[in-house]
Amino acid sequence: MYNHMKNVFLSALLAPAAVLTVQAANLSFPDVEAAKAQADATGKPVLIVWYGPDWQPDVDTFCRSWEKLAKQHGGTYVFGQYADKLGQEGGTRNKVLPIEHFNLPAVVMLAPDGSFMAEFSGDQVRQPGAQLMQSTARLASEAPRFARLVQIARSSEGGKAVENAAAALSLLPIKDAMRQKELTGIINRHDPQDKSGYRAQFCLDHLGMYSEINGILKGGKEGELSGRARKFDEAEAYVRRVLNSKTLKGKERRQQWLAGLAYVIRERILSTTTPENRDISPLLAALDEVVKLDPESQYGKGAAKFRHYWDPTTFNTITSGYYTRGDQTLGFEKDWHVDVTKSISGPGTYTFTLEPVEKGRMDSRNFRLAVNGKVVSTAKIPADTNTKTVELEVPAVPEGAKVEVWLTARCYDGWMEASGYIRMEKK
Amino acid sequence: MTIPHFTTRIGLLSLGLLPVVPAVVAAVAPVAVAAPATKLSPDVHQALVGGRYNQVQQLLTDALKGRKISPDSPQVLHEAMLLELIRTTGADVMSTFAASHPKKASFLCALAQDSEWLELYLSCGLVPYRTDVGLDVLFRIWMEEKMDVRHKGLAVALASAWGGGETDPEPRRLTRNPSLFNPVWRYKFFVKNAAAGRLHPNFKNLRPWELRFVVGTPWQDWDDKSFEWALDNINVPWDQYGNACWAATYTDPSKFGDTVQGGMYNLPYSDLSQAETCHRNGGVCGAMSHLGCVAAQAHGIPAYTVGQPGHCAYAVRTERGKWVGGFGGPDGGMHNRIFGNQAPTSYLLMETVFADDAAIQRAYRYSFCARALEATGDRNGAIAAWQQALQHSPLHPFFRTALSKQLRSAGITPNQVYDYLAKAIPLYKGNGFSAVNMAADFDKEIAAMSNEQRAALYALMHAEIAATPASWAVKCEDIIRNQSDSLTTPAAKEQFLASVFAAHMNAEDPTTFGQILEWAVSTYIANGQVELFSRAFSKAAAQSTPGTADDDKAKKMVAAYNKAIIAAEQARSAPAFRSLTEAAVKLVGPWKNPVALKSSIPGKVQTAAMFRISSTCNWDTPVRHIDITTPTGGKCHTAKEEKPYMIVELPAHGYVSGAVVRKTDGNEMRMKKATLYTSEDGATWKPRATTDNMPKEWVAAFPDGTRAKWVKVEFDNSGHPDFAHISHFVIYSK
Repeated sequence: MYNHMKNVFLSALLAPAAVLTVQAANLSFPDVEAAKAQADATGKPVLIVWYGPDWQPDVDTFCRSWEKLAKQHGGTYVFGQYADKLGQEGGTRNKVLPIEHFNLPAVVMLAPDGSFMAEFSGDQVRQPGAQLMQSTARLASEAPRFARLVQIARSSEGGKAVENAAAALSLLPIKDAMRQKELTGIINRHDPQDKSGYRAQFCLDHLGMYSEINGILKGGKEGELSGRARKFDEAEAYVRRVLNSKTLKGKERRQQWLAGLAYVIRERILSTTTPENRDISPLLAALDEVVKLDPESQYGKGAAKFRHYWDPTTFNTITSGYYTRGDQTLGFEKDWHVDVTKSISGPGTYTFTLEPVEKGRMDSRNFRLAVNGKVVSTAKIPADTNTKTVELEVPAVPEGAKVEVWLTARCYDGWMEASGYIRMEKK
Repeated sequence: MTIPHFTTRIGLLSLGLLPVVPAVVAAVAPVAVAAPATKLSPDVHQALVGGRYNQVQQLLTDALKGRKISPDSPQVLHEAMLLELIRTTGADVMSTFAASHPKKASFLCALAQDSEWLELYLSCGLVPYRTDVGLDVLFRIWMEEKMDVRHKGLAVALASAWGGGETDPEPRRLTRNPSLFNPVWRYKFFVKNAAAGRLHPNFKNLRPWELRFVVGTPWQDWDDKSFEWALDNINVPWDQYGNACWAATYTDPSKFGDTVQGGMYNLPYSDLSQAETCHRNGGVCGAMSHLGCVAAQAHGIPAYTVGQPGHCAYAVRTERGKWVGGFGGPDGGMHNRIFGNQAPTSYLLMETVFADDAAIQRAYRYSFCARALEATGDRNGAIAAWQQALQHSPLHPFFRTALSKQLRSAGITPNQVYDYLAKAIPLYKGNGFSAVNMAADFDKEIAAMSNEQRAALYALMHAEIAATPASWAVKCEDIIRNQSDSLTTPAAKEQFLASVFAAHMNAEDPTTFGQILEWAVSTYIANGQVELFSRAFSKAAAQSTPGTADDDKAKKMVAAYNKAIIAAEQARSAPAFRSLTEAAVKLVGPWKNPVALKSSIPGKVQTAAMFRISSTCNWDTPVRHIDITTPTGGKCHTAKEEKPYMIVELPAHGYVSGAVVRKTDGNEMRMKKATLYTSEDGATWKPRATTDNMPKEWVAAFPDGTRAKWVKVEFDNSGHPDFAHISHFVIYSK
């Protein structure tokens, strides 16, 4: 024990003040500027390997993998490197690379003229191989065409500039296309009214989209309409026009605009109805469309969560012994099914308690005990009594049965910070 | 001024007071080594096994009575540390904890007998106070580790982070979902990833107090899964985590249109970790700062989030002692801290106190002895032990407070306090604000001192404050106001003000000087005590040796003067306006961009006493206001106003023949409708000339016999507030 302690102190004493680094390992590839010059001369696209020679774990293995890959594919690409070392001035990477990225290593693909085309990251870059090269191959074949279209878009005016910029962007993955500030700038400049539909496709991310939608809702960019006075029909018509446009392509783009549609519908419902007379089905239908396009996507998962939230027929399942903001519904009631199986030690009277630990007003009522999904008893107080603690009679339950307390809850706090422990204790 | 010595060394010694200065001496230089194996007595052991901590406390106290209590005795040190554990946790709390489960009783027994673990736990900065939360964290890790905790430093950091300390706001009640904020999970996370080589190479060298900033606090920092997500998904050079907040997109509204101010913002991803939610959904300053913070922490780099007015930011510690801001940090209200929450004061003090591993270990050992001596009723022995602790760590605020309590209960006199503070304050190099906090323990005694003694102590404090890194987040106004208020004569106040100006005028960073200037202008000039202000300022300025205008310091100094000049204008104090302008001109030199007026009015140019502007803005140049009244010109710029104006005040009443007003170059389309007024009382204004389309250079002759002391030019932007900016406002007399 004491030897261990000596080691602790010794290592502390020996620790230099400066940041320690891992063993540096470097790629033999040219730097970004030299790689671009080679690409310009050879007409090949560039793959810039962006990595950390003096801090990245397993950088030796990483470099060996990339050296090997470069030998195999040197005929197709110019391989370059950006060594993101310790001690560099902030902003250095922005001067050299066309994009910012925070999960290194990554690979940046440039067209032969040096234009940014795409970015790759994750395991396919850490352990480079066939998967990554398949991803780059299609883009590589389009790289000369992409460069030509970019040149035409740069040197054209009006519709021609827009068409060529859009054609160039269409060759790229949409996430990379939307990062092309020069080309999206050309579309914005030459087609501010979006007659082509390409602004909606390439230029308006969700922030841009909601700026447009909210502008319409409040009666113009400088408008001040609020609440139920907002122009819901006009906003919905605008979003539907985009959704019906032939230029809107790809699941993700469609999901974004469907989310915009759901937003307009939701705002209309919340502004013009009360929870008691509310028909939520148009909102659920819009969210369903988002989910249906790709349930595993970010939009798909988010829309599914919202759908669950707004659907009055669904309930929240709580298994952790703690309720939190994710379980709240703001201004309307939803049932909770709280799993208390582990707290049951035989038949008897149990006290069920919601013990708040954070502020946030929440009403809870209508407590019931359910075994394997069927209500077997109710609390001996009226169902509409708002309380945080009730007594429940638990009957003898079969081995392995799932015992739950069901209740109806509603949160009033805008931040939905009602949270706390859940206890089920035998009397 | 001579600092009086009212007490003697003998006087101090009679109270058992040794001067508390750092141990200089190599002979007692501390070495970080562990104590050899020790064993608790059979009686104590039996009480431990029985979980009777009141009895353990009594047995240890009795056993230590009459013995020499010194950290050099491993046995005594062990007993003193166990006694300290019981004192800080509470004997009843420990007994209840032990009684709640046999394994908890066994764990406490193991901890009590492990002097290494006790020492780590009690030396990590914040020790959980009157709560079993810290012990419960250690217990759970002990269980997870099958009763042999391999990484005790990490374990006690988690216990400290979860359990807080005596000065924490909410140390006894953890409000977060235990399934999302689990100290055992974090322990395993860091152990696993350190072994895998995925953490910052320096992680393994971090001491428990540093690890507090890696493991995060459960009531502020993000959930367990955020650490895992951030380790996998945010990877930048070790020294770039101050930018890692930008791994998420600054977004409001969210992808589903919700504003960040509403509860729906994060709803679509509320089942994910907070970090992944932020990455997917975006965020604003609060979430993004937490993301940057957790990204650093997940890689074993100390970090904290920080609250600022209307903003959230964070800080990362790239190497020992060096906190680097993220998103506008590191200053503000620290969400994770050891000594107070005001950064930079808090972290500067922390880094100083814990800078030397061996010294702080020695200091803590003396502190355990001091507590044991307190328990045995040996006050003088305790005082001596606290002084020994402070010899090794002179700035430790908890030790200082403990000593001050003992000294006060021993009846220390104001004169003795004076001597004590006069020796202690100069030790606070780079921690001047902490010196003020330390001295506050003796407020009553300071109040009972003479003006001269108080002023002398304040001068010592300001010498240290001026050498301390300044920040917008640390306000000096309250300090200087309280100090000035405590001085009972105008002469003492004036002397104090002069000494404060002198101390700060040449500070490395003039931010604090700017605050003091603003306070002094609003306190003295605005209240008709211009002469006092001017004398004090002139006296200090005469001693000043300012830097050049093109260094960063001079720029900050000028910024401070600019604020003070505007304050003097608003206070309508010509002497202050003049003094401040002259001092500022010393820094920036004469106006380098003179523009000769093309026009003039026959007669003599009137020298102005002062110049005043209706409002100011970032484009304004107050140091050049006075030059506007000369033919070579200067520069001024109002904010957007319906009726912006400028006023020239002449030294005395007299006849004026007219004025020339010239717009600055650029944006000449502004300032069309203008009127010139004169006044004899500064309140009643008579229009003398007007124009609906003011030319670049407007020459306006006043009617014969116009007598005035004030001349005003006012621009009419009715309905369309706009700026006004002129280079000349020259008044002529026949």
